[in-house]
Amino acid sequence: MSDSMKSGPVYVSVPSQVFHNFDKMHSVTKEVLGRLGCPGCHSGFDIRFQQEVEFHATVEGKLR
Amino acid sequence: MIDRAVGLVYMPGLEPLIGAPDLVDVVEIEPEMFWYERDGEVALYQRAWERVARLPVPKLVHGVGYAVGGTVCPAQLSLLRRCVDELGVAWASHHLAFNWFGEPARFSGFLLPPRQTDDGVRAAASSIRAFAAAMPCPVAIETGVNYLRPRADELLDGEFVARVCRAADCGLLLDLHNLWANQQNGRDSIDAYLAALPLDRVIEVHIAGGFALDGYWLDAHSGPPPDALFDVLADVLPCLPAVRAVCFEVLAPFVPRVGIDGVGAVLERIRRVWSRPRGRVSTVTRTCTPVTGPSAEAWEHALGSLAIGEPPSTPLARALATDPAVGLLAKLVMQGRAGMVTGALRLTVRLLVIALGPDATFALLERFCRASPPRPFASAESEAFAAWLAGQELALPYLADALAFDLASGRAESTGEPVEVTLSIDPRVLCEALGRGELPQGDPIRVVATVTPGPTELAAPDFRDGVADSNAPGV
Repeated sequence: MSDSMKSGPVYVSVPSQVFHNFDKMHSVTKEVLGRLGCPGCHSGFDIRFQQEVEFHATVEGKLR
Repeated sequence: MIDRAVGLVYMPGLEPLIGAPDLVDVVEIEPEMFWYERDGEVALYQRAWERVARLPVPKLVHGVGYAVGGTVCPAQLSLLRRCVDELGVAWASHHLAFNWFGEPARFSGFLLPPRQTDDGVRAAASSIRAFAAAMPCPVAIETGVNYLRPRADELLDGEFVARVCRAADCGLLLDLHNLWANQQNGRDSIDAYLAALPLDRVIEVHIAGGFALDGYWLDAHSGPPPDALFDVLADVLPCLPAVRAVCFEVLAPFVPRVGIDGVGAVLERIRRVWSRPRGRVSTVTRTCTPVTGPSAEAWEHALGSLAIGEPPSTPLARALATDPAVGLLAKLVMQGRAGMVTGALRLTVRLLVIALGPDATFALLERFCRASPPRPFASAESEAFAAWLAGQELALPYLADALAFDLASGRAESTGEPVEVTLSIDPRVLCEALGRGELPQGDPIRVVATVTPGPTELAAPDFRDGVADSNAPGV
């Protein structure tokens, strides 16, 4: 068990979009609206998972 | 007064265009984008809604979540009315499609084509009249896309729309890219479709782009319209005496690929078409005899069930299942659900893709979709996925933390209130690792994180050169 687990919790305050500050790729729409609402209600094709995969492929390529 | 207007369907990130001079005269809002569902209640994401209400151009409302083309009377009309009132729109529109079916009503996850018979006309007209009665303004219905093969026991596409329009006494939103997709996929030609419509009822036109998938042309809203569709627009505009706006539709995830300048170029091209109308739409005289066959309700049950991946359970469903488009629809529903989960649970999906790989992650999402019905809002879909994932015993380090942070983040954004969550890693460390495409390392610690909602005014992403600038402030 780590020291902090034994000694009590660490308190932090973080904005809900903290991930956006660390994300080095615009793989998925960053606006919060894309995370709520009814974005699936259209007659086309949703590419957000595909974009996440493209991010992964790009990072893998950089690492190799 | 909206007249000869160039419009843009609002998507996050398009704000720089909406404020630019002589580019966007009207912005069309899909209100359900600002709705969320929690504990069975549908509510408005107030802060984001107030932000879009302040956009400096007139607004229109275009419903998507509870379509008006089927036997299920559209729900949430009072919330839709509130949105219409608050934006002060000149007219409101909705889809001549169905995305709820059965009793009790189930969500199909996709806009599906209604039954094109006399029974279908009556059902759609009834739903449209309920929609119109709830609105303080004129209403219009959108000409839909239909990937299915034409059937002998149905009205032709344009004739069906015309009959519904007259029966409901409503306006028309002419979606030219839907007609384009239908023509490319072997249904009515654009000329035949237009010839059947009461063109004097068209108040608005939509134009969009798409792409080919599995042998179909998709109404994907993925980029600029085909050049030939601009010719169709130029030909048809002079034949629409009541039309007041032409709106361009592009979905937010495609904007980085198109580029903000690319979207602007489409808007400028629409304005040039407004200034130089030409040509006349051809007239085709056809006769349509009344058609019956399976009821609208039976149609919706069969097609809706197939779209959400259920096995065919009726003779009609078994017949429909032989249409290759049914497999396409099921695929599109699945992609939409995967997209909603990805958008709402960004840390979780990123961690899964890094740890398991893309194929295994998508297979996981497919298993979830088979185990759980579609939900209309990303909030509810992501909560359902989180509950299902918790029972999968994946034993991935920090997966539970990513999930807990994502859910807390969504709740903070939807309510505007801070949410406290206990984690075994500092969320900043977790985010930093996943942002680099790495799994977090180190021993667990106990962290109590207060997740605060973001600022009311979010900076728009920077799409210079077609690629978003990840260093743009405030996003």
